[in-house]
Amino acid sequence: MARFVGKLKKVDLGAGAWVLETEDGERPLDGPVPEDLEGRDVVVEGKEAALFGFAMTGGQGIRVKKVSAAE
Amino acid sequence: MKRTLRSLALLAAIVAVLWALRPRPEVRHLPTPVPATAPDAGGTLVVDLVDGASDADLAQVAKEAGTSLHWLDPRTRDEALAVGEVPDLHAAVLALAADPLVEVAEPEIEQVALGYPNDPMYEKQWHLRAMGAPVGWAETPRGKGVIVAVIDTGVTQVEDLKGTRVLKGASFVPGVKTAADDNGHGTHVAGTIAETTNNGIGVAGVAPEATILPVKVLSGWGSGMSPWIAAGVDYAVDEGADVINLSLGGSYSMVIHNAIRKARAKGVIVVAAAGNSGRKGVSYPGGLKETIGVSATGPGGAIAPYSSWGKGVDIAAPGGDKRKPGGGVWQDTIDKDAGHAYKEFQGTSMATPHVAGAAAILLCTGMCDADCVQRTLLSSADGEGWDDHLGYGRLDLGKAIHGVEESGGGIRFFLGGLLALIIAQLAGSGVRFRALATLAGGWAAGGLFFLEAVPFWPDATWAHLVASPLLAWPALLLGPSWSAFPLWCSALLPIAAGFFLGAFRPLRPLALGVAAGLGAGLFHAAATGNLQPWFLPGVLGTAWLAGNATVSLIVGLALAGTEKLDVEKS
Repeated sequence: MARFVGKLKKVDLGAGAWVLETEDGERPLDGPVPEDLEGRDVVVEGKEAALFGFAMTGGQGIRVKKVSAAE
Repeated sequence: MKRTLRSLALLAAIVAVLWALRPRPEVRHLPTPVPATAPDAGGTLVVDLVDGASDADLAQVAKEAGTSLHWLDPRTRDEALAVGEVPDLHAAVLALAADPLVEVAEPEIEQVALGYPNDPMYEKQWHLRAMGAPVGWAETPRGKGVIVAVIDTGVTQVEDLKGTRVLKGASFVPGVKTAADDNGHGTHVAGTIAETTNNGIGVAGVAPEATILPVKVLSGWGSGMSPWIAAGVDYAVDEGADVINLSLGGSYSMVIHNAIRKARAKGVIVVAAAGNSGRKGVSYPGGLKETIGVSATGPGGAIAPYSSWGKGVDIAAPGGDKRKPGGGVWQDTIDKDAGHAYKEFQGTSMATPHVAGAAAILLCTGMCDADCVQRTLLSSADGEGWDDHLGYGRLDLGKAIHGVEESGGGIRFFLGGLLALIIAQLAGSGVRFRALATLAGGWAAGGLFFLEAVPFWPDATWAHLVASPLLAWPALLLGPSWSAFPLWCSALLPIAAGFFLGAFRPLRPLALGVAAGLGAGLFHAAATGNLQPWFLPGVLGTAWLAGNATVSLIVGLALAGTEKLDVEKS
């Protein structure tokens, strides 16, 4: 399990998709995301994965285990 | 000889008349009366200025209309057509009524075929009009018999999909048993392809008579893994999909590539999104050469800001741009609060099903196989050569349909009629025999395609059969790929017609026409590559078509010989 830090963002593509905005670019998220953290700096716990999806924003995806607000 | 020349001249005249009557959107899309605009209702004003009007004239007219106007298109500058948005259409039309610089001023009217469709939210669907969906509704069986696999988050038959044929499908997402949608993306995509249309509610779809095969490979969060997608593609092919829609993407995967390669080898058209990075670099599988890669455009026709572009983009289609009010792609989809809702989405995901629907429309005509459809979509696209943003250009379904008709219907009708006439001449029979044979030959080869242009021509299977060439019949009756059934695209039918109809003298010209017409159709298919018979790849297929065309003509000659003997006897 790895930890990823960045800003949580919902992109207006298709039905709407969650991404983690990091220094390396946007990373698609697959898993439960608390909507109230949108726009905030967060820590995502999960695993890197070669995800396919409708967001198609580029970047290595993350299979999410837990998202929490960054301290 | 004189008689032959006279007959040829008559045939040429008939063909010229039929050519003039050939189906065109403006024939079926009858102009509707100018709607009475309510005071204060805004919208697009169309102004036809006097020919040769200058920019200064346009500025003056715009001032009187109380808006800014711009020329509609530089290519039609001579016609002096201008458009502009006005806050009060009624007032603007009245203001310009007596202007000597203005020939006509009226609100923009959407030209649709005899009130079709009646879906109340269709007016929001700029994207369907932009890609020419109304031409498909007016001039084809609207995707009937074509199976389109939506490999996505699943499909739920929401209210406005209830009249659409949706198969059970399958899920390849671990732990999810059915192909129902738990996100909303897949249902929206399916709606663009085949939303129930002309049902008096909601919105419309590109190919409403097509059948949707839902294949769930993305989770409720919108993501999936490569093996799920590869398995979904394999499943779709096994279930008889004619077109596969992939509104998804990621990095290159060999297992997905392999599945798509196999799908293409089986004659399945695969359409895939270019991606939403807003940068150069197309996502996979949209970037594969086996897929039709689709970039997205907004309401103005320019590439959308989120769309990926670059090598791998083959065509552009409306994907929406929500920076403009109402600029998204509208469809009915699931909603966690209301059960379902009409929502506007944007993305290359939304552009892709416009192309998949267009492919279904072309396939259902039975005049074009998968390779031909792919070629036609790209060659008819509204572009000049290839560029890395729009590929070969913007999807233009109207031009694609007319491309198929003009390269097929008219030419084949002429060839079939001519061959039948020449062969009928050898029989030495009367004018009636020659005329019937010629008409039957033209019909067998090209179909009575001009009948589709007749207002109120029925939208029934028998009517489509009459208007279509014999080679297209299996596609209309059984499904698009059946036109390539080798025994159908062979001399079998002419031989049967010769045997059963040719034995009766009054029916002999019909048999002769079928033989000559089908021969002409097979020669045309061999020459253009529009038809690839099953089990006979490449040159084998061409040889099969040409060989059977020759046999068909020999059958026609034999019938002419029989007739000649009967003429001499009597």
